[in-house]
Amino acid sequence: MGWTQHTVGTQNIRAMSIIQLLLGNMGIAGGGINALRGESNVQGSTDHGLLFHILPGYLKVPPASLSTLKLYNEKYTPTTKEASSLNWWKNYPKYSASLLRAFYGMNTNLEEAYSYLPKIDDGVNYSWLALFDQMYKGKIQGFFAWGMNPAVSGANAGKVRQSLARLDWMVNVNLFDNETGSFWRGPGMDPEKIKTEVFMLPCAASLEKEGSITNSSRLMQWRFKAVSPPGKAKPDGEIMTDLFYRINDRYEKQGGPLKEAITKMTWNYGPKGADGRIRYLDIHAVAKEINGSFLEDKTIEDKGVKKEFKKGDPVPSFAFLQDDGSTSSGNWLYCNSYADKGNMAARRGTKDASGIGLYSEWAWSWPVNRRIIYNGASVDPTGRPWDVKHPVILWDGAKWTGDVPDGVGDPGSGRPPFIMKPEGVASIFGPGLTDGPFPEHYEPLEGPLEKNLLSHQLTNPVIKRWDKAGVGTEMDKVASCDSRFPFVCTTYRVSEHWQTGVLTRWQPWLVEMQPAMFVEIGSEIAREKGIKNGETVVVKSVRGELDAVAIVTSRFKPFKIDGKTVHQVGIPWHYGWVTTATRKYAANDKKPELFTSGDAANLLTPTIGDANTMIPESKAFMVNVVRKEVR
Amino acid sequence: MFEITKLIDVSKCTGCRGCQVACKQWNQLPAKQTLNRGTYQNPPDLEPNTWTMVMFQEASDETGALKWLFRKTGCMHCTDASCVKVCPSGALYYTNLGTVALNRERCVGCKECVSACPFEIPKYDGAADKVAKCDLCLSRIERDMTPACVKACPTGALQFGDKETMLQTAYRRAQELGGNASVYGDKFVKGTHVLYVLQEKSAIYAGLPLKPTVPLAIIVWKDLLKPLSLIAGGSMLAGTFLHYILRGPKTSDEDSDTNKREGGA
Repeated sequence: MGWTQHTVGTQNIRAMSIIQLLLGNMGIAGGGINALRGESNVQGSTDHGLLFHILPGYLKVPPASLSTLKLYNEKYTPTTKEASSLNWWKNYPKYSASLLRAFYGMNTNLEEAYSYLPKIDDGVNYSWLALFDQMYKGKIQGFFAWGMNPAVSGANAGKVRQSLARLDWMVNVNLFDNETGSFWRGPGMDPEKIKTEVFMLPCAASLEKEGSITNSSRLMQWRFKAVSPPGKAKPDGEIMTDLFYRINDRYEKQGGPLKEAITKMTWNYGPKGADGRIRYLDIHAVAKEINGSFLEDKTIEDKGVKKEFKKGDPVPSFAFLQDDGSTSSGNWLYCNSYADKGNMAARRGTKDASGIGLYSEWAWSWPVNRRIIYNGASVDPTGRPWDVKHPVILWDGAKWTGDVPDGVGDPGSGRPPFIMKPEGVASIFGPGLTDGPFPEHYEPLEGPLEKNLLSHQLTNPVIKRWDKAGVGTEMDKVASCDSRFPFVCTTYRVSEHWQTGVLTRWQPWLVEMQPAMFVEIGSEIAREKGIKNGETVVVKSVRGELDAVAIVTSRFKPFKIDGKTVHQVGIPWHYGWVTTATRKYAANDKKPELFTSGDAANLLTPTIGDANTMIPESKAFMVNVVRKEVR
Repeated sequence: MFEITKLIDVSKCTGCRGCQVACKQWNQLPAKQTLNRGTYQNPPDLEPNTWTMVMFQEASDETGALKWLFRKTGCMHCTDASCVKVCPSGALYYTNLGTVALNRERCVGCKECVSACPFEIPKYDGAADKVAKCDLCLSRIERDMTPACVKACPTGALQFGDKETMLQTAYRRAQELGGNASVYGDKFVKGTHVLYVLQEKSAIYAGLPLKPTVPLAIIVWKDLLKPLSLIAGGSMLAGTFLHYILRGPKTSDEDSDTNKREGGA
């Protein structure tokens, strides 16, 4: 994921994808681009629409200009001139209709259901950096920080913390108090002057509830509950149910814009009482809704065979989803995960019939338990595996064996393997990205070089410059090629801490091993600056500064760039002031058994994102490291 | 006798320290407030509450190439164990699996083992006036479970099995790695029940003695002089023996009863 945290992040990934394509490494055993994500359920979170621009199953969030479902489907359903191409996204209207049915059931028709969906303004970006920029500018009144700790995780965290002070209210849903929930009493804050009302909703940890996570192999694994959550903590689903009913009541009583968007929503996640509300949350009902079911009796012809389905039957796989409103599915990619064979994600079969480690009976992966996507590319047009020693799919004369074949057709069918692309083939030339069809080298926004040594364009020309007048705020400072900040800085993780440390900084065994914010510096800088190993130093950028223990190491070597020596330093990002010994603890504050020291690395990082995704450039920016007394 | 061995293949260690935490968790060893002293290694050394840990070391090989070495350290479970030899109370003893266990109830806090161990493993706990060290998770291995550290290791750097298999695995792996790789542990103190596969020259690793031996003074005293002195002090010994017969090793009997119950559950 480090590749993505650059202003050229998308093009970094494309460059690697192109290389793997040219090497013929797609769809084969041991091939592909296998992202190491920052969190075990990142795949699951984007699959299910965590990001502002996608709905579950990578359907698009509708812009305001697409006023009807018909227009929406027309816009996003690709066509192809290639007769042999499967063009899988041609099924888009089936998936959008089934998703709307999952939201609203038969409470309304599809067009009306579509009208309830929140729309984004055309061309406006609602990602993280934009969100906190708007918050800083007072355009956002309320905020749910749900399982997140933006006061530590957000780029330019100093700005994030100030943004939170401009809110009327904030709900912090987390396991422990954190730098976000307690931002108003953090370093440099005056509680008297902050109006934000903060609510803490304690929630259950992953081991305290049942559910699933999906990893980067698209493997959906069911997790069982080990222990009950402590005190008043509840699983997220229960908190959401509670909120839903309260918000629903408020709309019923007082009305409001798009009232029906809430009041007509289905909430069939458990057995219902006399009041029509669920008595308790059954997380399996959520999983079943994600899979999808038939809303009426239906006969569907599949490969020449007529299949009868009854109202209420689970949809066996997404090939059976319909665009006429007769099926529901909360996420078409997950259709087949909880069907006639039950909860596939809970399977724990350890057989590996494939011989290449697919373990196809362990849990379930989307789509339709296919373990290697684009595996049609692992065979030549006659059906012979390119790698005969490690076949992913193999034609036995009558059918494919091995992995679930990926839309490849019978050998000799002439069907190209990249079925999600309209043309059926992978694209080395990739139009549609803001910064062009081919990857190009640009320097980070903040860097040590005045010139791009490979072209006349220094930085990515289409990034949004928050530091420009009238765009961001006075806090979005940038200092490139500035002698005050001579060192390149990068951020990373340690294995002892998890994300913003909200869970791990309270664990004595983990804190014992990694107790403090540190900065790794090369021995050359240490000599030059008179910094001793283990000494607490100050790391500062134009946006902020923090204390860190210097680890002087030979692992950081200076770069020689165009005859110039450039030093790099590195910092982990998990720390925060809440678990330190030096803060004030109120009488009812939980004190950690072991203290950490130091605050968030993101106090230093710039407000700048990738040109396509807005993922912040946390991997390259400029800092200085000084001894404490020369601060 | 069926002997077991733990194999530490440092070439597969990523320094994640899952072993270090798993040990603390299984053995319920508390954490202590630490500081970052300019290294990932923490606590600085083994302590009464830290029986195994990963040592982080930056070193150069003979080509000058920088290596960041991770080495899990802890009790080596010697066949000819200095600590058992010097222990006056029988607290340190050989198990029938070949490992060296510690009956804390019997420890008298004399610290003889602390100075005798060639690997500097046993640590003295002043508050309890006892020593502490790894017992290779005796409570687990007696129940056919692997030691907690081995169970936690995500990369296969730690393996556990019968001595012969582990020796074979170790030598095969060293051969596979080639270069300076070697097996450390089976050629001294009559063989240890913890083996290393070291990727670099063994001399590079800090804290690993090249020729660990039972100190000569211990051999002279315990193997030669002590048996003579015991004959001389026979009446005292008889008294101790009588005490043992009458009162028995109370706590260890209770332990073994508990063990049986848990084992059958």
